[in-house]
Amino acid sequence: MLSIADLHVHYGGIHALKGVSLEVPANKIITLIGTNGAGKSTTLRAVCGLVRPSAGAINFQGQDITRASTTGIVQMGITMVPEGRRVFPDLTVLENLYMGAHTRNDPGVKRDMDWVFSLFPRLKERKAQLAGTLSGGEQQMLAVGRALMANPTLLMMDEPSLGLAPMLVQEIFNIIKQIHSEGKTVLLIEQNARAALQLADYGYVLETGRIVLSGTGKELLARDEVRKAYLGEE
Amino acid sequence: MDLALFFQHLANGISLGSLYALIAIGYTMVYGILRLINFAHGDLLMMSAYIVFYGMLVFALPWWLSVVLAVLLTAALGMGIERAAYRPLRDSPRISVLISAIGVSFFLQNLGIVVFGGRAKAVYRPAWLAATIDIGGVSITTLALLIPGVTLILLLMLSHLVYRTKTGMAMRAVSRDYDTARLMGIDVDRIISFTFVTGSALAAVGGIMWALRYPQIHPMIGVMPGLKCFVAAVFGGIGNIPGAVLGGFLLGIGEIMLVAFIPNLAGYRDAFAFVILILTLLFRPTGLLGEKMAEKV
Repeated sequence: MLSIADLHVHYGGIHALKGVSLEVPANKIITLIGTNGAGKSTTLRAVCGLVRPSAGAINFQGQDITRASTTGIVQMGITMVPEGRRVFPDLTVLENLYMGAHTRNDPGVKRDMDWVFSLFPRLKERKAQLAGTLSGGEQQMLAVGRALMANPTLLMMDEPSLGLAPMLVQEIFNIIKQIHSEGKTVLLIEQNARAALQLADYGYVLETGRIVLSGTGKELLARDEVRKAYLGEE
Repeated sequence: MDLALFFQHLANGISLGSLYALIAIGYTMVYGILRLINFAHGDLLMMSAYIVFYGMLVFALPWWLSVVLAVLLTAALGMGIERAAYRPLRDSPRISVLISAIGVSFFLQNLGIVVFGGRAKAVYRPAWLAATIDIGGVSITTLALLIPGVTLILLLMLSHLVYRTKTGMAMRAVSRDYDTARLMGIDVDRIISFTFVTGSALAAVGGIMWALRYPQIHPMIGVMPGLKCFVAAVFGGIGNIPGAVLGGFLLGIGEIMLVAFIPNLAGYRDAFAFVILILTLLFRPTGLLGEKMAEKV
């Protein structure tokens, strides 16, 4: 569904991605793990058109989207839950959700709103509240709900569990599972490598701008280098 | 000082304040979305006044058509300025854009001198606008009623636009966070253009009413109102639309009251705004209704 080939990104003089290639097949959960600064967020930002790659190609459902505008990419069915939630604090919860459906005009908006409220009943209770007044966990739910309102085929999530209490982390992973079971393809970035690999069908390990390892979640969990570097085991 | 006289001055202050409010909104909207003080904003009201003047006197168009044309052309001009002078500098340091804005302002003033001539021109003001109406001993000109009336209608329309429409929601989102707004599929450049169109159209109406209130136009008429409305926007809390309206009204009423009740200080009426600016920056830099200075992450 999404295929990235030999992607290079430069930020000024910094060579952030040095030839990343990966595949996201339809209806799978794919995870990208790696340390801070490895280039995980940059990869997702390049897919969304928020940063321009200096070389390489990004294809989505057979179409080249390497140079497409973010608006166009969203309309084609890719959305991202950005790192740090980035909800609009002075818009209400409901307005934030409608923002997610900004490019849409179909009757499905109402249905998706109901679906989001059934995934996150808390958001329904607080729909008239300003998003800035929500707790961190609720803001994360809102950021996910907002992305779902675009009715994406591919949902990309950048560190959805960052800064959340352990109980909420589990809840977020359950939600991802549920979203996936509704037929969405998920590309997930996580620092919580163990949880991500347990959930994912396939994983890639990114180090300083290069893919160094890949395999099914189970395979990667069993690899020594992964256990040492990302799972904190000796 | 009797009560009737006080209300007389108050009505006058509200009418001036309405104009300040209309123009201040443009500053605050552009600041909210680009973090830029658009110093060319004041000159838009001059352009608008001239368009009406030429439309009526040179092309003999009916007044309403001249007004509509002035609003449309000024809005287009505001959008064009953003395209030509600000958009290419989107990724430059903010100071470059600010200097560009000052450049555009000088350009428009000098263009005015070349095209319209430097001599002041008298604006035709229909007699019914100068007619006075007596309300409980307070006599008010039709114009002093018309200005706040038009302003109120425009404010209601603006508030509907910003708080009740999809585009308004997108404007509020863009003013917070470009990248996340893009992720929603919002075309950020289009929203920025739209913001300039809206602010410029309000300035155009403000400029026309300004020319009716002070019926003489010359290429520099935009300078002082422009600066004062910038002060009004800062006073109310720059980036905050209700703040700009509040700042505009308080500044207009304050200025009129100063002249009315302390006639000795009448010569300092223009200084009043700038004293307010200094006091605001010293004691409440975020303005009356300003948001907390949250740094963008």
